[in-house]
Amino acid sequence: MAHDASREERFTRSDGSAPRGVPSGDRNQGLYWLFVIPFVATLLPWIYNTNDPELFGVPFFYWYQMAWVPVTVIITLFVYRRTKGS
Amino acid sequence: MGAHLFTLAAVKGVELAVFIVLFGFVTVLGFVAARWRRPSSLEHLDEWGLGGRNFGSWISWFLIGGDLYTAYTFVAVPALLFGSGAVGFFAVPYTIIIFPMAFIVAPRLWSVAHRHGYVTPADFVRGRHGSSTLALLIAITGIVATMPYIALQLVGIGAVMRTMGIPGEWPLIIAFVILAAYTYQSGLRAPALIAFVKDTLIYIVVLVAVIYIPIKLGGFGDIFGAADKKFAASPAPADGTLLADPQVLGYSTLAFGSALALFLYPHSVTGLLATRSRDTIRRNMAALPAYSFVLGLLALLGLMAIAAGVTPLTGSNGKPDVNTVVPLLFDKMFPDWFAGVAFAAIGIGALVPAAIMSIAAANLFTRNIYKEYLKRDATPAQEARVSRLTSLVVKAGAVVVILVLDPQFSIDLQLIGGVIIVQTLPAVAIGLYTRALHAWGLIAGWAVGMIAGFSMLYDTPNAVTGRAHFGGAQYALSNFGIDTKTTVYTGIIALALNIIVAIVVSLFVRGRKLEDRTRPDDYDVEAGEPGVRDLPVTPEEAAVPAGQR
Repeated sequence: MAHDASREERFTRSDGSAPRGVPSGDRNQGLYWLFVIPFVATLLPWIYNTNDPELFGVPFFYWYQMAWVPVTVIITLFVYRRTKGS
Repeated sequence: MGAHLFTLAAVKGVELAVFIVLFGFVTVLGFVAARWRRPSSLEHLDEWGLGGRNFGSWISWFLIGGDLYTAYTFVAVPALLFGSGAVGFFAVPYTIIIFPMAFIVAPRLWSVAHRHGYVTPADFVRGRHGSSTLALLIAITGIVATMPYIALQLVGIGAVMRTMGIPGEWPLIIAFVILAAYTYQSGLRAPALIAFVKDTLIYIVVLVAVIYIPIKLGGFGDIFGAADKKFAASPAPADGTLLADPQVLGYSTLAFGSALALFLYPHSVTGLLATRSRDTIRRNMAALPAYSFVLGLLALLGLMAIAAGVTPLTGSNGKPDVNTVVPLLFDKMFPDWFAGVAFAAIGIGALVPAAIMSIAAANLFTRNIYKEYLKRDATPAQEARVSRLTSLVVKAGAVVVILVLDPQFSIDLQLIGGVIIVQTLPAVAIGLYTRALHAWGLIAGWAVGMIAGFSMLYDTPNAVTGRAHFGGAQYALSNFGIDTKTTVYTGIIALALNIIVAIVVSLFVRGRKLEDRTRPDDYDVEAGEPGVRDLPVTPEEAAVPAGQR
């Protein structure tokens, strides 16, 4: 048992205040498939390896990939809300 | 400003003064951190090495962000764009896809680690696959991959120092001695507290830089125009503001492989396990991409440096050191006091990951070598003491490596580090879902992946630098007899071989049962559920409005 903290050690380290934490039981795990979208959009450079259309002088290659940061955040937040335990 | 001539006139007084003030401030924070969040005692690895395993969403965001986006990243990614153009931008897709993957996988690691008191990824492998040999291999892989990464943080500080007109190695030694002292004293709490300062400075500097510098340079159109002109004039075929056709596959496999590797690094796992709950991790995976956006903006600084006509300083090995382009750009464009702030951001940016990496490496040694092989009955207090001492050794080792060997050696090692750390994926990440791969199969796969990865890297020349070996982590498919110029990220090829071997060997040894100490429900438990330690609300977390928690 070299790697497991003793049961006693794991259960007696609270300072007596009320336990906290949210229930897990991740719901709707099928929504994880939404994460395929940013993968396909960013890992296939054939889609975006061009200069046009430019945005404020920035080639498409650069601003397109940057744009996927906020889009992925929105997808992640959506999945987070929908899979969170009630 | 000849870097080898150390005259007082060459030192930039205002920049240095601002740098020293901010550096001094975080040093104080580092020592004060020992008393932050009231630990009753630091004599336990959960306290010294994981900050009490109780960090909430805000602290974790700063800590993990400060951990993953290192000073070296901030210096090397723009340097890559400066030198080669579009390929350097792989950092953006890489840091976009990493978080959805971690969103799904990392909470499972958190849960099983909390139920069983695991501190390192190798602890989990030991419990899950029932093989101390496999756990030892995973631990050694982690330590070997982390060490050069720590050394490279010194390269980041060194680039800033030389730009301020301070050559030589003594400032690096001073910085690391101070860092070692407060890490020894405060453990993970030190980088957690300093990360607030580091990340705030980085955000300010980057936002100012990407607005102010393009205005001074005449807009992004002119910046990309200048970059195009430079790349068109250079003889190298593989540079440009867009990817050349043979680079496209290499670009996406590098982004994908780097993303697979990132959360396998021991220091990333340390950051994850220091969080209070699964929910904290999941919430953070939605918030951490803010750093990816900043990294993308930073990357563009490399192209701005081209437009601004920056010429890299000569490094200690007599060759141009492209890592100095971002500091030089700041020096050229900003007023002195703000350049000082920017340099402090990079310098402090080196301290946070260096501290966490040394803690992670020390924990691996303590848990998976010292406790497993040297002193099986070590008490938690002894574990904490060994870990603290090991963290000093690790940092001293990093300084010696940088002082004695060519910095290029550390860069090579870090390249190898990324390729080898991803070889732990089958045992750690796949292990979180299934035991279909037997420990012996995993050992065989690991060995094949390591050998294949190392020999492919050795076989990779670099036409631009004229080196015959370790020229990059892009392996030409023509080596396999395919008639193409296309390259693929070496780590991905090695990982594929690793997994194939692991599957085949596992089929042969299926009958030999090894103990699994984990149960299926270990992977889904949340803080507050049976078997998971009760965690008290701390005052500063209670002060955050409920909606943001």
